[in-house]
Amino acid sequence: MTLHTSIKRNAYYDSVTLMLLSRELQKLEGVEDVLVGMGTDLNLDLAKDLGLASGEFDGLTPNDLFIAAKIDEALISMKEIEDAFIQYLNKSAESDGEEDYQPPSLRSAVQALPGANMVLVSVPGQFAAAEVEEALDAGLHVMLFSDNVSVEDELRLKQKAVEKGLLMMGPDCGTAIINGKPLCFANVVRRGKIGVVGASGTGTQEVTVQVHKLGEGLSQVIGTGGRDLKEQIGGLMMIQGFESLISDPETALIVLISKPPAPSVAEKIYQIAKTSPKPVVIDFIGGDRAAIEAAGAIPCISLEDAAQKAVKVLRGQAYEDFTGFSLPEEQIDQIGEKEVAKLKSNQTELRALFTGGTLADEAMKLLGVHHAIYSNIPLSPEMAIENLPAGGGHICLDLGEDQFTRGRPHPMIDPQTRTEFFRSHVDEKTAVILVDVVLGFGSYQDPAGAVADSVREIRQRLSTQGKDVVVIASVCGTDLDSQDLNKSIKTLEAAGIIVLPSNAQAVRLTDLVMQRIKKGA
Amino acid sequence: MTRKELNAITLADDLVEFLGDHPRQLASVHSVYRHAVNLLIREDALITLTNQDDIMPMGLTVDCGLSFVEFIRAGDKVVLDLDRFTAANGSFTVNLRDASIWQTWSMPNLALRPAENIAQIRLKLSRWLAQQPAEGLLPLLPRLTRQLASSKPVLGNIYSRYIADDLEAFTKAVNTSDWERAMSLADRLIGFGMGSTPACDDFLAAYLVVFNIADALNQGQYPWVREFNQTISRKAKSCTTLISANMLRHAADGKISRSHQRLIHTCIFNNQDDPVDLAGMVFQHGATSGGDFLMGLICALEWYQNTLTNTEKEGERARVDIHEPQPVPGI
Repeated sequence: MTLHTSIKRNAYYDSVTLMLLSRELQKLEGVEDVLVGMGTDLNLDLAKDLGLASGEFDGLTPNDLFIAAKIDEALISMKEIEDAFIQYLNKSAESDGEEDYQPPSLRSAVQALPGANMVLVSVPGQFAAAEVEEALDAGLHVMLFSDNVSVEDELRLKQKAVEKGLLMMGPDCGTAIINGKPLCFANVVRRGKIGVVGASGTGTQEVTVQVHKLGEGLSQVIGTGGRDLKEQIGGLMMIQGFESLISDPETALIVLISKPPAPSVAEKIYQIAKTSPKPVVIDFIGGDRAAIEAAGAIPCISLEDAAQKAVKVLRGQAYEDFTGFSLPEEQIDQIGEKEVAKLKSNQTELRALFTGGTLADEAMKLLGVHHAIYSNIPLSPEMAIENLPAGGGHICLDLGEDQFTRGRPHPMIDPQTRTEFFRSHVDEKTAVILVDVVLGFGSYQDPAGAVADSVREIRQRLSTQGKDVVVIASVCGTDLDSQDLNKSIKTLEAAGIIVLPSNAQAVRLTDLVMQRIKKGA
Repeated sequence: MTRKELNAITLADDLVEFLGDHPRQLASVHSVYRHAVNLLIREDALITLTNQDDIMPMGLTVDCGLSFVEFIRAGDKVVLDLDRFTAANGSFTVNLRDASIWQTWSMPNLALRPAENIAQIRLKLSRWLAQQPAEGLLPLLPRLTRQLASSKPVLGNIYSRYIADDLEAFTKAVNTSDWERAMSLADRLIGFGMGSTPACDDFLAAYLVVFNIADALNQGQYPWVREFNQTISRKAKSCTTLISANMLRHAADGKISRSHQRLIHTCIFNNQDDPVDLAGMVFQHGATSGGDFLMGLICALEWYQNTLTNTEKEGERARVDIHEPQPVPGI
């Protein structure tokens, strides 16, 4: 083995290059040991200690690069090592790291990806409007994930988008699937002929997931942001999205999803629905059924029902409201009976802990018929969580609301918030726990696992008092999601959780169990 | 050659001050990377242009979707005006007029985190860092965070094995306020490691910034800080690369890149940012620079946490004294 040194004066290479280069050189046959570094005194000391220093190091400065190698000259020469060095640098320059380029501005992003026609904006709210304005001026469609954008800015930007024939989805728009690409919080679903415009994130996710489960697919899924159908914004993006889907040749049927719009906004949407050449399914969760029917559209009683009707209409099949279960009613009764038998007489309360706001809203609307539910998103002011009687009561929480996400991630991203609520809100009086498990892009890698862990912990705690609890869940996800629907269901079932195929069915089972408990009490 | 017309997005305030004080300065391109260019002024000071979303002291971010390597060469001359940088060979101009200004040294108007909270953040950062690929100095993390006894052999790359004892001795000297020994051990660290900012320089930079902030928050309580930081800065001029010497000079004055600054502020001040998210951004710097800096930060925060604990204990004692029964004045 002989020692050779190569020196490059005033040569600057970033540490990524030098590190990778060292590894590459070390791999060469005939190289016993190699050290690459800048000529600082300490690096030279290291080279000396390793027996890699030579007389050529004299006069080296910290700004010079050295390569010192012990080689078997029968197998490799220093010239070959230097050639490998140059070759590696050239290769590195050619690839030039486009994959890790993070454009610092919209302009440079557009420059880096010519032909892009849509931009996803996710910056702090106070800066968002300026970014969106620039994007619209550049003729780009926008998905605005940021919240804390003023109503005035939202209106101005949406008006501009409409003038330019562009989409401005948001602010606070968390779900869209454009040309088959899931954006932000969205599931992997097959492409197909059903187009969706949704003003609610998890509501849209639930409908798209159910469509996928029923064997059909989605053409485009357009988000609007939660405020779009309020009086001030006038449904500008719901209308823009609706009209886009009417003229989209890939879309055969349109589904609109929102909480009940302002009456004037609803009226505008009904007018378009009346003249739509394509069938329109509307789920204005708890909205005016008669008005929807009068507009020639198909009303729905749940998100699952919207998906079922869309698929049936698309296939030319007869449809009716889906109010039941996928399982036979006898089996559902048996489950109810068996679960209630686990409970002690003083266990009467419901704890519904949702990560999806629309799923929580749907649950309250379906449960509110038979039970008084207190919530942070109450159906009426007197049912606000602050008014929960001292003696207790049923609780349904949307843990994704601002009050629970300040300074921490949304519970769909980080399950910790819900884990804490399991600990703080489930007690000896709790009879039923109802949860959603949302899979897909943006969601936590194993939300089912997190719920299962919490349930095991709760059961362990209750068992010390000789008690158990009924836990009911639905999984909003598909077999194509990275978290895997079937795996998630198995994880939940292994923890003794009853898993229903939709939020609506999970809520209905909860309702049945609660009614049984009430009767028993 | 087509001239590239670039716009500056953000300028560091010290660069703006420099340009105001030195009209029509001539700089030469010192080094060019895909995402950064260093301009050399007055033989030992650098201005760093980057097309990434971060900014250095004496730096600027520019709107440029291309790799700088494609149109800038080391040795090119650049004329620096207050409103524009112009390459003498006409290859590019940078318009500075509409750029926003970034404060290189600022102190958030927020409450300080208590020692217990700093300990939690250190733990969180250590756990996260332990999950990252063990490059640079990271194989030393268990040892420097006292999860591995000094007698255990260090695994990892040759650089980390070589420096393990000195690095550990340095952290111990700092934690025991043995400044003389810490200074002499720092001589064994400056300039050690691969790349244009050697690993130990990144490690030291974190200490210097934390020292500077602690000094600013507690005027007069740490009289050694100024001398310690300036000595490191002075030694760095001859012991490490020009780029790294510049980094240490800024760090000695409490200045560091914006992403690093945000992380340090989040660790010390009670804001809402998630330190692990910010650490993730810092970690992206260089091959190992970000990780080496984070390790330095975890160690420097241990010193800061200890000083806070002592201060808090003194406060406790003071409160106890006040509440002790006072002698009844004689009638």
